[in-house]
Amino acid sequence: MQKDELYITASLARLELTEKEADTLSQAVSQMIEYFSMMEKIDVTGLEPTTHVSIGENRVRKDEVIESTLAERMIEAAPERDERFITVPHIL
Amino acid sequence: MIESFIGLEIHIQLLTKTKVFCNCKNEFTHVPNSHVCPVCMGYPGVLPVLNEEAVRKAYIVCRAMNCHLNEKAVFDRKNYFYPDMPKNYQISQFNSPFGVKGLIEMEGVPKVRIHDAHLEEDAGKLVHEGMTSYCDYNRAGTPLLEIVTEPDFKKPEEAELFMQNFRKMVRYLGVCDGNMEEGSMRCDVNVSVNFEGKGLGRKVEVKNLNSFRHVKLALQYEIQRQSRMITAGESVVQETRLWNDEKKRTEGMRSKENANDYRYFPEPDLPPYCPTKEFLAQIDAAQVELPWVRKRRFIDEYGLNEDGAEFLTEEKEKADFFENAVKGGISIANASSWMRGEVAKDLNKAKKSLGESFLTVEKFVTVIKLLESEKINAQAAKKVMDIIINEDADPMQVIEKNNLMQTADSGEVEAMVDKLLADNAKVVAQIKGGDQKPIGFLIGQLMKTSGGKADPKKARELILNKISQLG
Amino acid sequence: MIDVLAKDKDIHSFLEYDAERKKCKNPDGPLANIPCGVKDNIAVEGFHLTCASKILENFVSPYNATAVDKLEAAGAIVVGKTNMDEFGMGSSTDFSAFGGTNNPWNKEYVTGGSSGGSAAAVAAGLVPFALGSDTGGSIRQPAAFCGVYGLKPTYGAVSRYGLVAYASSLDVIGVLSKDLDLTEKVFNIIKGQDWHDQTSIAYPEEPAKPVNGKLSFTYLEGDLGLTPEIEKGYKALIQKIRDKGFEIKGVEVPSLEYVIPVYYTIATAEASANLARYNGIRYGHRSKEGETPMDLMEKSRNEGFGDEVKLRILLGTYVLRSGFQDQYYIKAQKIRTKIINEFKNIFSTSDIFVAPAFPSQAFKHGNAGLTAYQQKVADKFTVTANLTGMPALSIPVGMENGLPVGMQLFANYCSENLLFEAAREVL
Repeated sequence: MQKDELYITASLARLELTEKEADTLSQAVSQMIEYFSMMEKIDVTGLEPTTHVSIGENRVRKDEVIESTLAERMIEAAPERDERFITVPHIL
Repeated sequence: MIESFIGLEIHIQLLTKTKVFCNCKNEFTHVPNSHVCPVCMGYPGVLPVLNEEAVRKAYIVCRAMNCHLNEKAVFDRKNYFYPDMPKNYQISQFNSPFGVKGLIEMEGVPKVRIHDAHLEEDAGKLVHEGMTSYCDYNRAGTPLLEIVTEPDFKKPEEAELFMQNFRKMVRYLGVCDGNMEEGSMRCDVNVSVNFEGKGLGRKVEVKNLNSFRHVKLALQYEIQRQSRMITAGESVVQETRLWNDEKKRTEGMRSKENANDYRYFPEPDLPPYCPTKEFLAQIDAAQVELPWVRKRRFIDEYGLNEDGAEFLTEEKEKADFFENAVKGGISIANASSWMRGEVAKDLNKAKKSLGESFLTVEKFVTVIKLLESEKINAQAAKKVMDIIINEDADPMQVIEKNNLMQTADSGEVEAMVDKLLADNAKVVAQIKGGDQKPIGFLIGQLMKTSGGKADPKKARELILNKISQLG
Repeated sequence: MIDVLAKDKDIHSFLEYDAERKKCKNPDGPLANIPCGVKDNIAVEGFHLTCASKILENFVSPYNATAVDKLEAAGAIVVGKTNMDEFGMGSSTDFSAFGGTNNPWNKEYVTGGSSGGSAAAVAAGLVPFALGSDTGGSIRQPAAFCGVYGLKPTYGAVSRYGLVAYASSLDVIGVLSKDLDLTEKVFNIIKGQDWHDQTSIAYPEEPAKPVNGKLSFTYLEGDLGLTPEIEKGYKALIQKIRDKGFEIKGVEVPSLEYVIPVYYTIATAEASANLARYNGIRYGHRSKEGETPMDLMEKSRNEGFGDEVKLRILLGTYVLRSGFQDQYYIKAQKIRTKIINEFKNIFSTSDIFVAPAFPSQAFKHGNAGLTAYQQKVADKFTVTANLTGMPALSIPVGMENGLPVGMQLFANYCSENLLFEAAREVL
């Protein structure tokens, strides 16, 4: 895999790679991608992709309110907050 | 000649009690992060649990738009990072949404093909202030139905008219309140221009349109901007722009380092949804006559004019009220004019909708029937109407209590007229002298003294007769 | 009472241990007062839920996984959270951000992974059983390395609610124990459809029956690349089955050749989305730097994730990118269908499919062991059960050079009872 492809992929995944990481990871990623390419030769004519293995009947739930008791606890779990808001830096 | 091509992407928040994938309240609140749970906060280990009512309402809209309903609808993950999106992917539908290939036909707009309608989850809200963004996840997980049209509109006015009718439609169907200012209905547009016959041009998306007016203005602006560009031989950049309402123009967004690649793939946490025959029968049963169809029928069937039909079909409850009133036996003209006049005025004053007020079809019909049979006069009817809109009162009791029955005893009224003429000798002399103007004053006085019981139509005749009898 | 903490000092199977934090909720329950360990990617209210990652180092779960609720309702007591490879990504437990776990049989060796902490804790006798999770062999391989039973149930048989997702279409919660009966008992308690997990299934009440009236076996044939120790144990097991009078025939499974690329394509693709939520905003590690939200997310993720996790996120992101998706992700899902068909075919005429758990016994820590790449390729015997969603049980069959040898039994969907029956018959 080319390094610029790695950087595009990393940016989509919101990973900020250092130069050194990019070196080692591009090698490891390339090795796996190359390995993946062995799938090319397999004939899958007429086969549908399997996305779920346990499909039964439709699954839905009733539209009934269950109020969570965890809101306060979750607000407190945020690394930075202002009263009930969870905050992040913002540069215009 | 330059042609323009306009497509709409409409988001509607569905009216459900709970969010689409968890049991938190789907309701606006001013307390930040209060309607949240581990699921809508994207906590580790939680799973989405599909709300049947969101599914039902989504299908109702798909059906109303004549969509083809996929036998197997599949949820997908749409991957992109944003602080208001707890999981950093949005559960949506991409390859096999609930509805595809729909069609909407209405007057004043070309046939609009619906590309698809898909169910997804709304994001939270960010408020920016100074160097900080404040995250509130109350809205995260609100059920959203996104409707994507093909670029079938040619003019901004068509898009605007379509949006207005679309809003009425979702309100008729009871699936969305259609409030654009509060964001429960949102619209992005895409627009391209090209020399006639050359097909679609390069598409520009415009976001941040909070009203129908914005939709029209932004489209007008964009068409002008793009037309100028291609006429000058420049090429339009395919991009997303924002409407700046203060400056009345669209503005390019800061370009991102990379074009978005959403990497859609089937959501493994939710099994596909296959609508059953029974379910689809329920969806069919929930269909209603669409507002623009109903309006046309009101014109054809009741002989109403455009404005009248427009007014009466604005809301489903109003149209139902009108038709039930007519069925109740009152005249079309009275049903229409009273609903558009006095009732609308009183409701407006009370800041209530028809449904929120105390007025029922039965009460309305009772009052208008009394008016039509001349048991009460128009003034009395107005008075009763005002009361029964604002209070839980019986119209007959209101009439009795206020002594509003038009008196059948002509002797009583005659005596009143005699007294009136005697008290106003000067005026009488004026009329006898050939000046007809003061008659209005005398009628008004009579109505006042009779407490509305006198019939104003007859009053004029009676007064003139009496004066001529005076010799 | 054993002094668990003292005993665990050299093993490091627990990331957090507190026998007093939870009380028995049902003194008359089938698991009354039985202590258990829970892998640190399964939510236990009031305990940390780190997934052995720095990004969740200080994260305490505000809720219970459904499986944990069910254990507690049966009287079991969660006493601690066990070590693992970060987010389940590894087969040694050396990829824990908080230090690896040592194999109780020989501390120079790994426990396997990713449920290495659970396997070591039960092997060392610290708890009678532990919950683990299995995405590509994460219960069965460490169970084999540590000489205990490890059940990977049918996909959807046990609710995933509360299991931190690695690869959602492959993940399943299962049980590790030295005691086969207890393994079965715990499975029967934690299984069942859950409204919190719409991929969970209504498990049949009637136990599965052998296709021919009596248990019949098949075993994996061909050049399997096994170490002599594993080869020996494998042959001995097949012979034993035959000696007990059961029918057993060898079958070749051509798809085995490419299950690893299929597995890693699907697993990393799903993981790339599942791990997107860790961005330092709502919980978990937040970078001290980062001036814009995007910058903050990138830095937090970069500081919080280990190398193996980053590698898999990158792989998964790549295989889903437009232009590559058909070639990798969609193709893998189609081959997955082929593999499922192959196994359905096997189970149409026999009940139990026998295969090794791993090509080798436990390997040494560090560079003396297998490279990350070699470890991945060696997962070929375990990942098939995850790709098909079928259940599999790792069973200890003996010792070689002071380390356990483990084998695997596979069965058709919802046929866990046949796995237990077979295990009892052949040992």
